[in-house]
Amino acid sequence: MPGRAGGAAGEAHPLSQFVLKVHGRCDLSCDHCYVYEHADQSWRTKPKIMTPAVALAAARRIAEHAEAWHLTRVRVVLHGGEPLLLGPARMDELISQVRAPIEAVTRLTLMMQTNGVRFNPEMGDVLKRHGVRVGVSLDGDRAANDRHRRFANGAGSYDQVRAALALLRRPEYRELYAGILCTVDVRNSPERVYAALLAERPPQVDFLLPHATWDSPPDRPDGSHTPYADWLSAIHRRWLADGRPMRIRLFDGLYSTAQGGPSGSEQLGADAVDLAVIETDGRYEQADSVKTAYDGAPATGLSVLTHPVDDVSRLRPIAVRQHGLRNLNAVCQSCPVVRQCAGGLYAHRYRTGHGFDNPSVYCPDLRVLIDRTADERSVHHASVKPEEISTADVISQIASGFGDEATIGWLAEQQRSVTRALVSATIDQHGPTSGWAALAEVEAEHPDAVRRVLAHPYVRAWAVGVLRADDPAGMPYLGGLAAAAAVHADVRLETGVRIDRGVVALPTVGTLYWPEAVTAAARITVDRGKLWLTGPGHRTITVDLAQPGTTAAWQPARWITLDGWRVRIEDGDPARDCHGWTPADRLDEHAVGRWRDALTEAWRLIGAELPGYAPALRTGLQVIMPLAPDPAGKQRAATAMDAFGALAATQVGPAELAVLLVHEFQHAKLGALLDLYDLHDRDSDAQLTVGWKPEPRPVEAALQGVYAHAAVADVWRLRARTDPRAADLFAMYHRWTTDAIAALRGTDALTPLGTDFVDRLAATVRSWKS
Amino acid sequence: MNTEVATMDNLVGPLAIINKTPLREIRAEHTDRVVRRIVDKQALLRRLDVAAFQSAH
Repeated sequence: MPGRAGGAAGEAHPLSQFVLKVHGRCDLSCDHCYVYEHADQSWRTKPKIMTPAVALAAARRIAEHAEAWHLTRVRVVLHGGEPLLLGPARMDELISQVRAPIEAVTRLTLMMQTNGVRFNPEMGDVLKRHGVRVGVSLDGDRAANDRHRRFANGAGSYDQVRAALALLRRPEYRELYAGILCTVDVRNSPERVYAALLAERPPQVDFLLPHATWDSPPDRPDGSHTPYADWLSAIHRRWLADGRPMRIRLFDGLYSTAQGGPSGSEQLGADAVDLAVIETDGRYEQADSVKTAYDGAPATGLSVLTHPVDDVSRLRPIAVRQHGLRNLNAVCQSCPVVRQCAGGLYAHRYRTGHGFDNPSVYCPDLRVLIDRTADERSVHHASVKPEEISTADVISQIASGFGDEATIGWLAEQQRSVTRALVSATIDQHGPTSGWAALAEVEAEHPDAVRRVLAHPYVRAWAVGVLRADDPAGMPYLGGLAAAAAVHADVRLETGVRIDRGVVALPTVGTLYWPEAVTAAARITVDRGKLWLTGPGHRTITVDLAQPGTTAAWQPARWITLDGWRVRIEDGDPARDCHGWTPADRLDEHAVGRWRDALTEAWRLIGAELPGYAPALRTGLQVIMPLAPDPAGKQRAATAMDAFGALAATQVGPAELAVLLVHEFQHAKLGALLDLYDLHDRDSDAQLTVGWKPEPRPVEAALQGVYAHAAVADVWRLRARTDPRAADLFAMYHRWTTDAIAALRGTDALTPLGTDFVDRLAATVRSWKS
Repeated sequence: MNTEVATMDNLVGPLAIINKTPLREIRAEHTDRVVRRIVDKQALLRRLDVAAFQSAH
């Protein structure tokens, strides 16, 4: 049997993840637990709790390591035993001790892995105050969970864990909910386990193969050769058919590694495992999973009280896991799926006499699972989405700088689906309203009418505001949407609305103006081409939609139609106030006329000078939202990421407006793309120096700036023969763009998709140089 | 234990289901993923909310 994980493997290297065993005991007695029930029994000799002094010593070691290695981020996982046994007061004190030294030198991400049994609002408040995200262990439905996850008296923990998850779903704690960890038992029904986990609405699920080694192989009931692959495949197929409603780390990892990306997990793939465990007494250990190998397996003989983290990083078992495939055994090295599997979990490779230099004891399952997952994904895509534009096509089209009508139409369709999801989520959060019932009723018979209304760009902005503020006061906005849909469908409808500072918006139809700028509940009726709004004092406004023109109480939607392009001037909907600058008040007809003239000429200029941008604008831009003028007379324009299809601007001349339309819609296109795909690491702290701002910009802002300024460079390139300023302006925007592309490439923040996007954009920009 | 590098998120699958489901039949399990990516505070902190332009003069 090997001894402690001693033996230096060479130079120190950075470790960025630390598991703190803040409590060494557990209130459950799960028979599959690797801490208490597997080979390593060192828990018996360790203190029950980590004292604040040990926590502080650990934090100081982590901080000095982070500072020495210039780590931009460190992750600390509060673990056990059961960390919640500490109780709220001790937990608060311990986390405070941990945060102070580390946050003085780097960014700290705090996580907790718990059985959830003792999670309550008091503990939730402590964790929320410290920004700790919580993962909970649950093995599926009641029968599956309580097969193993039981109290010492034999009682199951299912009800207590579900209560914890219900608390984590509440709006005040939702930001804490990290996901569910489910240990696989192939005797459980995979369909029932999947359904039970999905019902808990976790952001992410991770399936954990039960810990086993070649000395103690996994249970394979009924003589099946690959029961774990079969079990997981059943869930994979169901998950695909459901549209992948939650992230499942195992499957996301397999998809990612199939394309050469990371696995995000130590169960699979060649990601570096840069992790150390710090026990309740301050001793460093290896990852917990190796406890399954033999007694004493995770021990290092080092402690935070006496040794820096660098000493741990030099130990061979930790150092070898930094090098991906290089240290794998010969069998794995020759396997065709080694890049996806990478030998599986380190602990599962153990065999007495050979140590960890073996394939995983789950090797047959992993091989089948990898192949089958790829096949099932291909079959699913071929059967249900033959018409879908591929990710590569979307990236290629948008990165070209333009985007054809099919691509922009597809992006707009995705945005409409985002809006549908968010509108539905407002009901989940605040409960059904009369407006919601009315909207759903209209949709049942006239889906196109509702679809037309939900395409209004500010519906999403409204929904995001209601969801973020957790305030139901804005919910009657749905009544205005229902009324607008009823007008389009020409059906009778009566529902509640809210007069919001004197306004009731019927998006895409028009705006009702109450005589006073009050905010109050009201009723709206739509019937045979007429509207009745009854508000405070039982006063009623009546509108005959057949009568053209505006009145003090009614402003029909104002459309400007130009050569196949149709945009609406939006100056009424209260939800339009999401662009960071003050919207203009209701426009009179003269002001609208000026906008009509400017847009007409700007559209002519785009068609003549910048035709490459016209298809995207024609397909995606629906609304112009006039902004209040800048007091100093500066031009202003803004694109809100929650209002795809809308552009806010102050009134400018046609030539400037043409540039603004092109520039701003670049932001909208890229924003819509970023809603769907990760082009950059959202956790990156990278700050880039860019030409267009004096202060450094985060990655997304730099990416947005590059994309928009590339188009402006193109505008001045194309105006070279018609505008004397063009050469200088092209040179400036081109330089800003190419410098920022170089800066983006110099970070490690771009994903493979993001790198592809930037490479394609760079090729487009490069082609303009001459 | 997950490793430091996260795999890429992608909303296309969940949105395809939502797009074809009538409003009153959309289940919270299907919208959660969209809400977390678009709405939640974590997403807000990491996303650019508004791209704004103001001229120098």
